[in-house]
Amino acid sequence: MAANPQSFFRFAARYYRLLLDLFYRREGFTEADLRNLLEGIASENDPNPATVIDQLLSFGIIEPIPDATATFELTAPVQNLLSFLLREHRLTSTKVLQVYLTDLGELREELDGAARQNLGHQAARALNDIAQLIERIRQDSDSNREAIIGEVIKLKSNRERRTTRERFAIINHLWSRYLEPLRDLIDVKKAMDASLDDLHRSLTINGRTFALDGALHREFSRCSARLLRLRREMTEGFYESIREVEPLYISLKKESELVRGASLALERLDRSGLASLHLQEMMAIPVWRIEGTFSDTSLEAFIHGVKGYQPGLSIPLTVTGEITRPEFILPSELYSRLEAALPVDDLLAWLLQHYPEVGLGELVRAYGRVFLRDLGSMQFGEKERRYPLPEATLVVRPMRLERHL
Amino acid sequence: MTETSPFALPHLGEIFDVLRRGRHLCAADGKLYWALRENLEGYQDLFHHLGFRLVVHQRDFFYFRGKDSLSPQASRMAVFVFILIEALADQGEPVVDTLMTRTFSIPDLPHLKSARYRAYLKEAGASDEDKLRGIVRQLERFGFIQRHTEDSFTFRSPAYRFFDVCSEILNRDEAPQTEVQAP
Repeated sequence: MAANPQSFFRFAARYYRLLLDLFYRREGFTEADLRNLLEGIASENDPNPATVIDQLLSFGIIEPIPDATATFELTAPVQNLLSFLLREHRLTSTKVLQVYLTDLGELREELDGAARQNLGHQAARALNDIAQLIERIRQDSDSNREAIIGEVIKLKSNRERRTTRERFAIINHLWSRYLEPLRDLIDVKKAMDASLDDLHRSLTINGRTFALDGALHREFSRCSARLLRLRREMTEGFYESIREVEPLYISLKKESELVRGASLALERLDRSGLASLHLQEMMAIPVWRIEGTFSDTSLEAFIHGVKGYQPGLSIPLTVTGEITRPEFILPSELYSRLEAALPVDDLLAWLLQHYPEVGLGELVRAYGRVFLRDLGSMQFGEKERRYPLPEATLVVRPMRLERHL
Repeated sequence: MTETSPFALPHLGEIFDVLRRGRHLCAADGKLYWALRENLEGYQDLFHHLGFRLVVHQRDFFYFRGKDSLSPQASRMAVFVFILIEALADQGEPVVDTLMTRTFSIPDLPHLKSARYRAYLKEAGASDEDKLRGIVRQLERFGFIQRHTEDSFTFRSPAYRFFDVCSEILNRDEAPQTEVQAP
């Protein structure tokens, strides 16, 4: 039995707080929940909870959930009404919009047929259905935009402290389930434009057919105006939704990737160790080492040390009383002594005589120096001569050295 | 040195000195950053000829990309940032905004507060607060953070390098594995 609207709204006004509570219980509520809620808001003259529950059922406000015992939910019309009043918009999928467009196409064909046969009453009926459908599409599109924007605001404020992953999952769902198909419908394939263009053409042409029927002709004009409003609002709504969602989608996508990357890195670190990540190579931060030089600090410390240095008593040199001659023949001294002594009949004998303290090695070195120096003209004797030394005996053909002529 | 000399660049000595030590230069570095930015072509050319690769990051900071001698501190610093990213995300914080704008207090960092994070840090060679502070000092040395007090710091724009690493790790993981078949 249909509910009396006046009684319905009076009842709804009295139990508004209850309806509001039930509206947000999307998973349904039990009879016990209902009784508790009713006790919380009951006044002295109110009927008992069982009576109120019966009234809720008879007004068609609640109905049992099919797969659960003594569990209820708000009926779809009441949910829609409350959604509208509370601006709690629901999303309509693009598939529903496509169905609407198909329906519009069929109604347009019906209108064309009525016009061809000049059947005014049939045209009026088709026109009425078209107008209703246009308004439904407009309402759903508007509701979609509101729902999307509402979701974006919720995600931006993030009062529920959802993690980045959860927020991205929601926005990704909005994007891929609603906006992408809508973009496809409106912007890419232009299927909506094509369908509405056909309808616009049909309204214009068929309107002329019924130009003499004033009332019907006005309906054609009104329907054209509705169509125009639908196109404008739907396109605006779509682009507004995109403008709201896209930046958040992009930023959450990036954040989500960032978090997934960080978590993946930590998981690998745990499983395969730090080296497996190759972070050193990825970051490639150079290090610069200068080896074998003082650091500024150590040099500074050294200078400070020198500045404050107090010399102690010098260590006296030990005098042995014995003068040791160096076992080294200074070449310049050798050359000058030898030049002064020229001519020399036997160079080796001369060296042994003048440098008796030097060893065999230094003696031979000095002999070689004179030989290579070209201090005078050299002549070698015919017969070899033996020179016994402490370390060895040298056998040499004597070298005579005299001044160049 | 003549004005046409490729070495006639403002603050060349200081800029080269900090870049070769692995520091990242950003706008917060003032005169060095501006000298580099305003003479970028000259610097790039000079460093290139000297065998250094000067990278200009899209977030507007500069650094040398090393080849042979690389800092082992990079791994520890990256693990430090990964932990912070995950902790912020788990708290429902907007990660990039929070990382780049919040002033962090070392005693409040999440790194030593959970066993899992402590295990990660241990693997990276840092097991206590002293070592954690050591990583923070390295982050400052390389120009990733700005210290305000002994206990507090904020991230500088070069921290985006760690975000790049996260993306690279993810991309590498999600890239299809190429199967090499023996002929």
